[in-house]
Formats: sequence, C-alpha cells, structure tokens
Amino acid sequence: MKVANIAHGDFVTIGAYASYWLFVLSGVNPILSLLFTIPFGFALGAASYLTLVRRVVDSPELMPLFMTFGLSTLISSLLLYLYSPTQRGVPISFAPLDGLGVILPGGVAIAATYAVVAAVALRLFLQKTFLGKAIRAVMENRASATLMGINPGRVGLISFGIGISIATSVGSMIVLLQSFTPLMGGDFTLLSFVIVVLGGLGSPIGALVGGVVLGVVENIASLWLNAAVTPAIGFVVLVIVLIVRPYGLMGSK
Amino acid sequence: MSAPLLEVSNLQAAYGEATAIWDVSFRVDRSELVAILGANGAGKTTTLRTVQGVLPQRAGKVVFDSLDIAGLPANRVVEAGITLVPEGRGLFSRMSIEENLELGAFTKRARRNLGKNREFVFQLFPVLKERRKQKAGVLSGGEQQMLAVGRGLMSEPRLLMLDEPSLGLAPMMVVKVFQTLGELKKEGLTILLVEQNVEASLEIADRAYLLENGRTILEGTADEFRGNPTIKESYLGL
Ligand SMILES: Nc1ncnc2c1ncn2[C@@H]1O[C@H](COP(=O)(O)OP(=O)(O)O)[C@@H](O)[C@H]1O
Ligand SMILES: [Mg+2]
Repeated sequence: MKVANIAHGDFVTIGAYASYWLFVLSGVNPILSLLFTIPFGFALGAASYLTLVRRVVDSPELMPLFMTFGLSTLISSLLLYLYSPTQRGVPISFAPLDGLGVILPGGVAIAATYAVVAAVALRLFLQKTFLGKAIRAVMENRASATLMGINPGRVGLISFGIGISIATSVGSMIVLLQSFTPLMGGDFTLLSFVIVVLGGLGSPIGALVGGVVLGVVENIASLWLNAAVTPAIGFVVLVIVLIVRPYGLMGSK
Repeated sequence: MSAPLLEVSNLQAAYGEATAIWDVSFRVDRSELVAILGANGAGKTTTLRTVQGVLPQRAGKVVFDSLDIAGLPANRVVEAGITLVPEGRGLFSRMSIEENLELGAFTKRARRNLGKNREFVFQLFPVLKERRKQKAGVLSGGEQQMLAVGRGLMSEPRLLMLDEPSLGLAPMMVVKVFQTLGELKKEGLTILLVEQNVEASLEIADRAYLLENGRTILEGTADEFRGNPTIKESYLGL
C-alpha cells in the first residue's frame, strides 16, 4: 500500500482556510484552531479514503496518482469557486524570539515547534504503539499483515486519516507564515515530495531533517542566485543526496 | 468422538479462470498433527490459502470448530483461531524480531497473553531472544523460519498451519524444524503441515493426505502411508 498523494498540499490549503475563517469569523487564534484542523483533517482523510482512495490502493501505482491528481483539482477548484482567487492572510503577529544572536519571527518559531512536535509524536506513534506497528507492517507486506489478523482496510483508513490531519494542521501553521490562495497546494505537494524523498520515505524525523536541509540550502543559495532559480535548488540537492544515499538522509531499505 | 476441529469438504479454488484445486477434502482432529503431502504444483499452498481466506473458494465447505468460516476474510479467520505460517515465511524484514513477534499477537485474544507467549517462544528458540532487537531481515534462513513459527505461535492458534517450513533450509535446520513441530504437538497443539519432505513429515504426523492435481487421492495414518506402495515408490524413493 503506497499511495503518493498529489492532493496533499491541497489539504494544507483547506487547513489554512479553516484557520482563516475561524479567525475572521470568531477571532480564534490559529494556534488554537489546531484543535479543530487536526480532527477535521482526520475526518476528511477517512472520508476520502472510504469514497476514493480505497478503490485504488491495490491498483498499479499510476492509478492512485491519477486519482489524487483529480482530488487535488477538485479541492483547489472548489476553494476557488467558494472563496475567489483573492490572496488572504491572517492579520496576527507574535513577539519575535530573540536569542543566541538570532531574531526569529514569532510565527516561524511557533510553526517550527509544531513541526518538531508533530514529527516526534508521529515517530513515537509508529514505533511504540500496536497500531503504529500495524501500519508499518501493512506498508511493508500487506499480505503478511492480514495473516497477523490485521484488517488492512482499517489500517489504510487510519493512516490516510492521520496523514491528512497532519496536512490540514500544517495549514493552520502556514497562516502564521504567509498569505495564501486556493491554488497554493501544488507548490506544497511538490515541496513535500522533495523533502520526504530527501529525508527518506517513511521516516517522520527524516522529513523534518529533509525540510531543514532544503530550507537552509535554498536560503544560502539565494544569496548568490537569482530568486527565479531558487525552486530548482531543491531538486539539485535531491539528486545529489540520492546519488550518495539512495534511500534518503534518514531512510533505510 | 467429538467433531473434528477443521473439516474441509470438496474444496475448489481458482486463480482467476485457472482452477488450482478441484476437490480437496480432509479433516483435522483436536491435538492431531496432519500432513498434506504432494508434489510441486499439486495444490497444497492453494489449499492452505483458501482455508485461511486469503483466496476465495469457489465451491466446498470449510467448517472450523462447528463454525462455517467459508468466505471470511483472512484476518477474521485468524481471530477465529487459525494461523498460517506461509510459504516463504512472509516476515516483516524491516522490523525487529521483537516487533515481528508482537505483530503475531495482534488479535485482541492473543494480545492479552503477549508476555507469556513471548517467553514461551523465546524458550523454544533462544536465538530469537538473543537477537530480539535486530531486524528480521538479517537472520539466516533457519532463524527466519524459527521466527515465522514463533510469530505464528504468538497468535495463540487453535490450529497452526505451516506451508513447507523446511523448504530451502540446511539439513541441520530441517531436523530442528521437525523436532520443534513434534514438541508442539506433544504440548497439545493442533497442526496442519504441508510438506514435500515426506519422510520427515510422516515421522511426526498422526495422519496424512496425498494431494495430486488439486485432488485428495489418498488418506491414511502415517504408518499406512509408509507402507503404501505408491508412496514408497514416488515419494520415499524406496
Ligand atoms: N498465483 C497463482 N496464479 C496462477 N496460478 C497459480 C498461482 N499459484 C499457484 N498456481 C497454480 O495452482 C496450482 C497449485 O499450486 P500450489 O497450490 O502452489 O501447489 P503446491 O503448493 O502444492 O506446490 C499449480 O498448477 C500452480 O501453477
Ligand atoms: Mg506450495
């Protein structure tokens, strides 16, 4: 069961809009809106799994790609229809963090903290709990997992739910960092693929490391290079890393 | 005489259009070790996979402990008490030995006694205890088979089915596998064993069936099998 989800970034966008409206309509702090976007994302993920993803998990890899591509188009079009292409942002700011000679904007500090907490929590869940182990078992060998008494459909539903709940909750953090439009999801999907492959598939900590590496390299490179080529840096780094470490920075066979 | 633990009648199964087993019937009584023998391609693996619910059956009956389990998905059959140690072992090679054993105890029923059963498995195969933190993928073939059997036992099966557990093992490990199965039988475990190693299987089995071209064509006690001219000639090389 390996589904590369092209719509992943669009679920980030959904999370961003959820936090935006919670703030605009009822003044809810985006950090607090995590309490909504996490379970909301799980429900969205579970619903997508039951209605769509479930039908393609056993198909050749191209099918999930096509299907989640369709889902991505559906979500971004729907957001466009509902909320227009207007760029929006949450007018909220947090005191900057000043220490070690570095001044970190408050929003960045909060988002980074959330990323670390989420990655560590996910890793602990996958490594230590029975359900987490079952998820890894299904990922490695679906047929064998079934012979253990594991219901692979149920595991698929839960894993997809968790994946989407992370995406939507990341949307809540994105609004602390930047403004957004219904169409920004694609950029995030692309970025997340680079980061995940860079860090090593299936490794939450690897994704964290991959993200930091990519961010640092891109920013350093932008000191010398034209901003227009900065997005390509990620792929150059990716190719170099994969030549040296085919399973990514933290990945294993 | 109580009803058999597993009774399979006129089982038929196919891969797509291609029928793999036509008419397989056998029974396993409580605390028995029954061997299903037959040449490569006879339909032994298909039979076990169909009983387990991995493969849908096309016709026939599968009754386990008076319960009709035909059509149940494999994970539900595990919950009912049948565990298959598959051909090729099917270990989670990227996960540790300990994790493989824990996954064996995934069902609610087995999870309650996880600690106790793990101790039992570690006693049976001390090497697994020594190397519990290592990835299953680094074990030798024989050790992997021990892990596969151990993982099967972790589910507290009422019927343990093994598909060619001695396949591809060094001679010493083959002896060890059959010894272990003999011990488990003494402990009262009900075992359905599929093997091409006819001689060793008949030594530990109570009864046996011979499968040919997807049909059970012979049934008897292990002694009867050893005395049967066809078996002697075709399978024991006498
Ligand atoms: N996955 C499969 N797809 C199609 N045919 C298969 C498959 N597996 C086995 N068969 C066929 O089913 C028959 C029985 O195979 P199998 O049950 O594996 O025999 P055995 O375990 O006794 O060697 C054989 O004719 C084999 O070619
Ligand atoms: Mg076979």
